[in-house]
Amino acid sequence: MLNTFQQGEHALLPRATHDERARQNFAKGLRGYIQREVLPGLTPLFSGVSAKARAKGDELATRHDVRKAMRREPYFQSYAGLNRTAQELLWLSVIDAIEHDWNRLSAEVEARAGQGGELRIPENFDVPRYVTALDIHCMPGGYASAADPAQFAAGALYERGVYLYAMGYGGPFNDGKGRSVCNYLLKHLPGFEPARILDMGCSVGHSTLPYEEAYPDAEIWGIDVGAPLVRYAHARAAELGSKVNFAQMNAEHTDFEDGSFDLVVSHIMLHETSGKAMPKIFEECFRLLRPGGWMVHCDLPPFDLMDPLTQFILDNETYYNNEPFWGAMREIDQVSLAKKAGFEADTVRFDTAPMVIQAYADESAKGYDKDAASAVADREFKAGEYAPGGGWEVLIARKGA
Amino acid sequence: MTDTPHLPRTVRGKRPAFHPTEGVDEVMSMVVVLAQEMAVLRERFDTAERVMAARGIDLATEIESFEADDDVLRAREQALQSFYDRLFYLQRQRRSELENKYSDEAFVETLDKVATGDI
Repeated sequence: MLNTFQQGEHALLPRATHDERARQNFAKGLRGYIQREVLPGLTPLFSGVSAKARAKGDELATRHDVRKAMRREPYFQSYAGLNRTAQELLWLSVIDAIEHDWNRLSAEVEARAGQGGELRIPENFDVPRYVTALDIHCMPGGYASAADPAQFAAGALYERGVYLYAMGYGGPFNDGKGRSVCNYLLKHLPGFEPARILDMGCSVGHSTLPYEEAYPDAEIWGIDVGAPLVRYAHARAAELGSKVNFAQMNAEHTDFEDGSFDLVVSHIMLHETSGKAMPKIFEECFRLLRPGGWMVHCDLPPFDLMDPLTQFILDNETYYNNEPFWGAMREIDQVSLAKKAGFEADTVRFDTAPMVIQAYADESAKGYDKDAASAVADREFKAGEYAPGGGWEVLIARKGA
Repeated sequence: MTDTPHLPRTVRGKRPAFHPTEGVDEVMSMVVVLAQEMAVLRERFDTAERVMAARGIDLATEIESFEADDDVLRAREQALQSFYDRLFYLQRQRRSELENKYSDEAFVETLDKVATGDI
């Protein structure tokens, strides 16, 4: 099935020229191609490599052993190098468009000041080192890039870049993860009606906006450490008719009061924090929740039940895509961490929130016809592909009533 | 309205080397970029054909049935050969080295001779 998914148009989306769009399309298609056609070769390659090692009396028992052996193999070198190049081209193809569309874009952002929900960006803010030490997932400039005085470019880059990275699987507005978690909550916590919801590490609000649809009466906040992200998120939300509020805050210690939320969520945030920050974030979630409130983190499942090859493939993100906490986070016992933070022990669990791509099939968005959406929904995603397992892992926990 | 900023195009953090032979990573990335540009041109031309078709000119069919006369054939062949020359400039250099027996040793020897005033 050909992937012709197209991102939903809106005024804040960088407008690309014909050639820029073609370059972006190339990067998106290349990612899909590598995952579909090149990645599967790693399994037979590993069979041979591990057999050879075994013959010499070596057992490739850990993902680190696998890495040491595999990175000598030309096929793996091509795979990993190509994957990295695809990632780099993806961002570069968007940066060109942002620069050439700059005047229009900055006017659109500016025009949305005072519209939509609240936007809080403090004068002085310390962006944590784990976000600035490396440009995460090779996004040039990172989340808190100061390259543009108008301070929204990183948001525009993330908005388009992540759509290409996800190859459209997150839907025309890239809100798949948020929708998945909302569906999960509506199904598993019927009658739960949060009055106030916090989305931590919200980036440009992709996953935040669906909560407005699921819980229309709730007051919703999205926070992130990147000022360009929340500024862009606010403008984007206003453009899309949302009243979600955004603020630059650190999930380890927010400015909100004790017991002021019923639901605290995050989507692919934890793996971009650190071993030091994660326990603090769980404690902060506990502090922020009212008794009976829920914490839900949608992120990477732990390594513990995976074989070393699968672990190694997933861990490539750590080594080759500037995701410094990706592997280490999967070794942390998140369930214990949640219990230690004070959450009710018997409510803490991992679960899967299925992907929602079929929900887009009826929408008018380009490329999302029933067959294409079903093809993605029915596909068995493997390690190294986007959304391995076909769903999002959620860690869920309740604060005792 | 703000001035267009120069957004970063490089990444904080060392890029790993994937291929053991130095330079191969660079060559591979250049090859992929060239492939990308080829895809861009192809797509642009496809658009051109479709725009023409919308205006009643079936460019695609006309291209298929286009008969090149002798002048066109000559001009195209010349362009092709010139392209080969540019594409394989390094092979041309290597061949001349073989034919003229240029060597690293002779090169260093020349540097020495020039430095010491022998030549």
